[in-house]
Amino acid sequence: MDEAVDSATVEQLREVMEDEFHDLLQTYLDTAPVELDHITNALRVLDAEALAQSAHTLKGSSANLGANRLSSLCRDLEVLGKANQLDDETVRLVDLLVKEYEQVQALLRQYLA
Amino acid sequence: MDPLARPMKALIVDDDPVNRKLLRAILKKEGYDPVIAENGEEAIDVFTAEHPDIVLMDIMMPVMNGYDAARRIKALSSDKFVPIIFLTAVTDEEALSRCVESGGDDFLTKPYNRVILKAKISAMERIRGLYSTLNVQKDELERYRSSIQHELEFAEHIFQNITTKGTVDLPYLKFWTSTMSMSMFNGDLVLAARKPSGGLHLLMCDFTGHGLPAAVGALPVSEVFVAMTDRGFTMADILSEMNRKLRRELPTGFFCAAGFADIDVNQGTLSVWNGGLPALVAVDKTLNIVRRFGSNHLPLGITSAAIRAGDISVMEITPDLHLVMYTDGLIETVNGEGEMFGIDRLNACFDEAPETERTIEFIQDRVIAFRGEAEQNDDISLLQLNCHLAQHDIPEEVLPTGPQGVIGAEWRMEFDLSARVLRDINPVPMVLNMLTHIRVPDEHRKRIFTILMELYTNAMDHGLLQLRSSLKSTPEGFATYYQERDQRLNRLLDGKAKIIVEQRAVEDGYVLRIRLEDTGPGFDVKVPMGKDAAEPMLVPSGRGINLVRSLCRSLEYSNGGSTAVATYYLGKEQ
Repeated sequence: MDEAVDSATVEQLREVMEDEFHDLLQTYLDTAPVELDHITNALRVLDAEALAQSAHTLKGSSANLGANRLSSLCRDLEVLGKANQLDDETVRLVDLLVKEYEQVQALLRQYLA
Repeated sequence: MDPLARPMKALIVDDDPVNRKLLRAILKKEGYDPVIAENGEEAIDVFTAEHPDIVLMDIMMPVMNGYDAARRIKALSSDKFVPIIFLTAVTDEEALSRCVESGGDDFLTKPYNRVILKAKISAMERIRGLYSTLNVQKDELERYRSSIQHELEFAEHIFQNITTKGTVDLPYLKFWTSTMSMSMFNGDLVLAARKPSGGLHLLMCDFTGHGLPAAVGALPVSEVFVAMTDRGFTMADILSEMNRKLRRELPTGFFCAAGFADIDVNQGTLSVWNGGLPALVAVDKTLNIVRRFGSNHLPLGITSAAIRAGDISVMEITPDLHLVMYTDGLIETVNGEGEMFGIDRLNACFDEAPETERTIEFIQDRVIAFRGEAEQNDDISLLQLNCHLAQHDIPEEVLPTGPQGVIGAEWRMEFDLSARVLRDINPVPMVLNMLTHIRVPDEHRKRIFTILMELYTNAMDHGLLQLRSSLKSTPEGFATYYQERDQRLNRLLDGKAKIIVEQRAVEDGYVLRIRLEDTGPGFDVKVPMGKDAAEPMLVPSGRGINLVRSLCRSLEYSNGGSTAVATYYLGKEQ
C-alpha cells in the first residue's frame, strides 16, 4: 500500500480493457472529481446522506482502479455519513481524501501519457 | 458455453460508469453480450426488452436500489432461472441477508477480479443448466401426462362405442355397474345381442385391470360377440373365437373372466357357460335358488383350447325364471372395518329380497349400505335377466336394409358334410351367410335361419346321434340330453348330412326349397305332429317342428324321417 495506485491492478486492467484501457482511466478522471465535489459540498451543507452516497460510489470505482488508500478513506467517510456523524474527524478525512486524489490522478495521468 | 448458441446476454446494473465499463470489458472477454442499465428502474426496462441470461446488480443506486430491482426481476422471470449476482463492497451480514431475501444468487465484491467473476458466472451457468433441464423434463412430463389423458379418453370413447353396439337396452334385462374411478373406464363389460332366430345372447366380462388393457381386450370381444351372434353362430363357437382372439391379442397375464348366457326361444332353454366369474344364480319366482352355475372353465385368453358344447350347462326355462350374474367386485366389496361383503351376505339377499323382479336393486342397496364411506376397491357389475320374458321376446321384423326383392332366377347349392366335418362345424351360419350374398332379402333371413337350424338340429340329434327328445321332459334329463349329445357327437365316425338349398320359380313367384338328408336310420315322423303320442322313441322336439311348419308353405318328411324338405315362399321378383 505504498503507492496511491496499485500498479499490479492497473496492469491487470490494461490486459482486460485492451483498447478501452485509456477510456476507462479517462472516465475515472472525469467522474471522480464530480463525486469529490459532491462530498465537499455535502460536508459544507451538512448533508450526511449525500456524503455517504458519493463516498460509496467513489469507493467502488477507486477500488477497481487500484486506488486502495483512496477507497478506504471513502469507506470510512461512508460509515461516518451513514452514522450522521459530521464532525472534526469527518473534516479531517475529507481533507485527506482531497490530497489523496491529487496523488491518484497524477499517477493515472502518467499511465495515460 | 456452447459456441454455436447465441451469446449469453448479461445485464450490468451500476450507477458508476467506471464500474460499468470494467464489467462490460470482463464479460465481453468471457464471451457474453453485455447490456447496461444505470439504476434499478432502468434495469427492469432493459430486462423486459432484452431477456438477459444473467444479471449483475449494484446495490446502492439512485432512483431504485438493487434490492428492489432484484425482487422485481425475479418476479418477472418466475418461469426460468435468471441468476442475479450482487455487486458489492458490503460484507456485513445484514446487508448480505438482504441480498438473499431480495433474490440474489451470489455476490461479487469490488475490486472486480476477472478470475473470481468467471468462476461465479460458470457456477451460475451450471445451476441455470440444471434449471432448464428440469424445465424441459417438467414440460415432457406435462406432455406425457396429457397424451396419456388423451389416450384414456380415446379408450373411453372406444369403450362407449362397444357398449352401445352390444345393446343392453332390453326390458327384461336390468344391470348395475359401479366404476372404481370415474375418470377411467371400467374393466367390466356387459353385452347383449339378439339372435337371428329370436332369443338372446348375454355376456358379462371382467377383464384384468382397467383402462387401456381392458379396452384392448373389450374391442375384439365385443366385435366377435355382436357379429357372430348376428350370423347365427352358437355360443360355443363364439366363446371359442373370443378365447382365440384374446389369447392372441392380450399381453401375458391379462385375461377375461366371463359368463355367457343363451336364451333359446325354440327349445325353451337357458344355456350357461362360466369361465372365472362367481357362480351365476338362477332363481324362481319365490327367489329360491334353483341352480348355481359355477365356473367350470378357465377365463378367456389363457389357454388355446376350444370351448366345447359339453362345457355348457343347459336348463329349461320355467315361468318366472331369472338369472343373476355378477363380477367378483360385488362380493369383494370391503367396508370401513376391512370386512368383505362375501357370499353369505349375498345369499341372505336372495332370502330377504321382497320380490324376484327387484332382486338386483335389493342387492345393490345392501352392498352400497355395507360399503358405507369406504372407498370402492374394484369395479362392480351386476345383472338380472328375466329368462321367461326373454324367451317370449320375438323381435319386430327386421326392416330390409340390403338390396330388396328376390333375384328372378333359379339356383341351387348343395353341401355334403362328412362325420369329420359335422363333429367340429355347425354349417348353418355358413349357409345363411351365403344366402345373404345371393340376395335373399333380409326380412326372410331370420325365418330361414330358424327353419335351417331346426331341420339341421333334428337331422343331427334324432337322425345321426339317435337322441330321444323325451329325455328333456325333466330338468335332470335336460342336462343329460346335452351331455349325451356332446359325447355322441365327439364319437361320430360314420354318417353324413346333406343340405340342399334351391330357389325355384313357382306360379306366384319364387320359393326357397331347403332339403336336409342324413344317413341315420330315421325316426317316426308322425309323432311330432301330435302332442298325445305316448313315450316316443326318437322324435324331434314338437315345439321346434311345429314352428317350422308354421313358417313354411310345406314341410315334408320322407325316407323314414331321414329326409326333410321345407318349402318357403320368398315372394315375387322385384
